[in-house]
Amino acid sequence: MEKITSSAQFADMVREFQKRQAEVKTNCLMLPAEIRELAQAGKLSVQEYEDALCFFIREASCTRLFYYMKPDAALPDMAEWDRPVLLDCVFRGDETAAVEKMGLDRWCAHGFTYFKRNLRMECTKEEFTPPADQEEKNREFPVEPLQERDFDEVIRLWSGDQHLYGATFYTREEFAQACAQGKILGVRLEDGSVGAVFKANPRGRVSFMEHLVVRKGLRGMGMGRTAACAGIGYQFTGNGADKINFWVDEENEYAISLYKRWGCRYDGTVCTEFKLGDIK
Amino acid sequence: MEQFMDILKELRPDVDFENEKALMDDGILDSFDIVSLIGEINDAFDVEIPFEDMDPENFNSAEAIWQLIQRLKQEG
Repeated sequence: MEKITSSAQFADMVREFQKRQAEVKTNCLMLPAEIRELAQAGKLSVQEYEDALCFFIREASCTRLFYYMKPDAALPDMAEWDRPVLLDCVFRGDETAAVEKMGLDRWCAHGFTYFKRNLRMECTKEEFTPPADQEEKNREFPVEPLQERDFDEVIRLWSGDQHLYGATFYTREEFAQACAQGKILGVRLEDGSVGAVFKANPRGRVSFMEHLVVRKGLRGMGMGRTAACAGIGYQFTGNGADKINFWVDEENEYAISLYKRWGCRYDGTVCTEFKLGDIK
Repeated sequence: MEQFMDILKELRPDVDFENEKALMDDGILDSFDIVSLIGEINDAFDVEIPFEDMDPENFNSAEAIWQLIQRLKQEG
């Protein structure tokens, strides 16, 4: 397996592969800027096979696979791959058609199985309606931008969560910078520790809520809800966003209902994940 | 250009493509939109947009995307 060190290297490999094939199927939606970020972080690798080009993003507890392949590709032997491996299928509309168009059906016939389906929700600044008790909750669980000194604690909270993309793991310096940019907020407990972390990626007028985690032992107290609501509000007031969006597990009816009450709505985009190996 | 504007409007009816000048920089179009749009452009105008051209310089406005299509058609 070879490390990808630049967006240009990625582009060259894809171009060369596409040149050799009459038709190519892919599940890759990444743009040059995203490839650059992953490459710089050393999180992106490639394995070239005769019929397929497989890119792997290393995450804390899984590997994500993005591929380019011939429609009738003889898929590679995956016995030596680090498991679990996740495959994403992002689409709007007909899922069966999307899976077939991207060639994911072949991977499913080769060992991948359905894992979960995430819906993308969005909320505009105008539509955002925090619950009536949010101020009271904020007093109980004060949410504030985190600081460099929280680095070790936050990394511990993040690690082990397969839904945090590898590119978003920070070095201490990057973490400090992200905190200063208002990308990482947290619930500060009385003893100074962090009870929940809200992570956003503001980009222009849209901010993407990347991740929300509550410390084990503190769940079920409304801390996550408070952090999410305060974090979303901060994207509008502190980060200049007009809109936020985020993924939510379609089976998490409680969260979906909560977000809807805050003015969020499903935007029609779905990410279905397929897995190879067990996800803890 | 009219056909192209129709494609944009069908893709994202909520976006003001006539006036927006930072479609990519402002996150108005995300990677899913860009890749979907490239597929539509490929089908409608028979041009393939290379990966390295999928950057804000070429995708920040309808005009910039249209210029990219014209350039690729000339090169092709």
